[in-house]
Amino acid sequence: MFPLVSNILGARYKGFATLDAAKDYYFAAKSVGKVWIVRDPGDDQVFGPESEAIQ
Amino acid sequence: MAVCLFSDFSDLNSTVSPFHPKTWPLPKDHKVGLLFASLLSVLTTLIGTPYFPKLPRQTAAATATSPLPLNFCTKPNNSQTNPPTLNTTSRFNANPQLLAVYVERDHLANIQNALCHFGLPPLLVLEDMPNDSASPQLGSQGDMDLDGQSPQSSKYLELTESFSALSTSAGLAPVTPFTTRTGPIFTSGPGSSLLVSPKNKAEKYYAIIVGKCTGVYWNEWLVLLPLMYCVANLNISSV
Repeated sequence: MFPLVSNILGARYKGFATLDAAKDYYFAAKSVGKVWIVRDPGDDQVFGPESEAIQ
Repeated sequence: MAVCLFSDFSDLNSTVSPFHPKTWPLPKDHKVGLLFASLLSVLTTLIGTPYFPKLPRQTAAATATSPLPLNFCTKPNNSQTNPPTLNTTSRFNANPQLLAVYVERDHLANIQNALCHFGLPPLLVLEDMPNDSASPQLGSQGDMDLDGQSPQSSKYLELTESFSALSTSAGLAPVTPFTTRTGPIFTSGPGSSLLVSPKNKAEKYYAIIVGKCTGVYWNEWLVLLPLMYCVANLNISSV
């Protein structure tokens, strides 16, 4: 999980105590359109393809 | 300045010097002789010619063995046998006292350095305190401690009483038992309180909205903490 938000301008994440709360928050933000990925050249080889980057 | 009075110049004639009477005739008048003797003493003091009996000068050996000049550091003591020492050192050496101090493992090195810096004896580490869950429990039959002595034996009780008396004999506050320490102990260092705080320990799930990958991830805050170092405009919130 370390490289997912490191060296990223404007990286955002939020911690939750339960999995359901984290899921609710994430999908709510996704429905609003606040979820996006920040990729640099060569990140596909490290983090996988962009099509699989967003849950 | 030394002023010498001579009633007779016979002693002066017996020595060889630049002021020898053969090369420098001395006057016969007594008053003039006194004045001349005073002048000679002044010149001898200035030039250093061994014409008059000198006072013993300090040689190198005598300087080495002579006492130091009196100042703040060499203030004479009543007892010359005991060299001046720090009160803390003499107190610890003369009357050593054992004090049980609970020190965290992370702070032990800093405390040792501080004690060494102030000239105090280092801490004697007895043993690491085990966790309550890992502490050995006595069985129904009792473990044999103290070189085979049972914890309920008289020798064990005597030792316990002696140690308890030692901790309170100097008028100090009794040492708090380890079992009564309740509060969480946090490690020192930047971000360490955030690292082990109960609030962050409860956060096991993280929703990454903006990052290399997004989604819901489970991880400890320990793993997630380094992620914030190089992230600009990082917005963190928790429930």
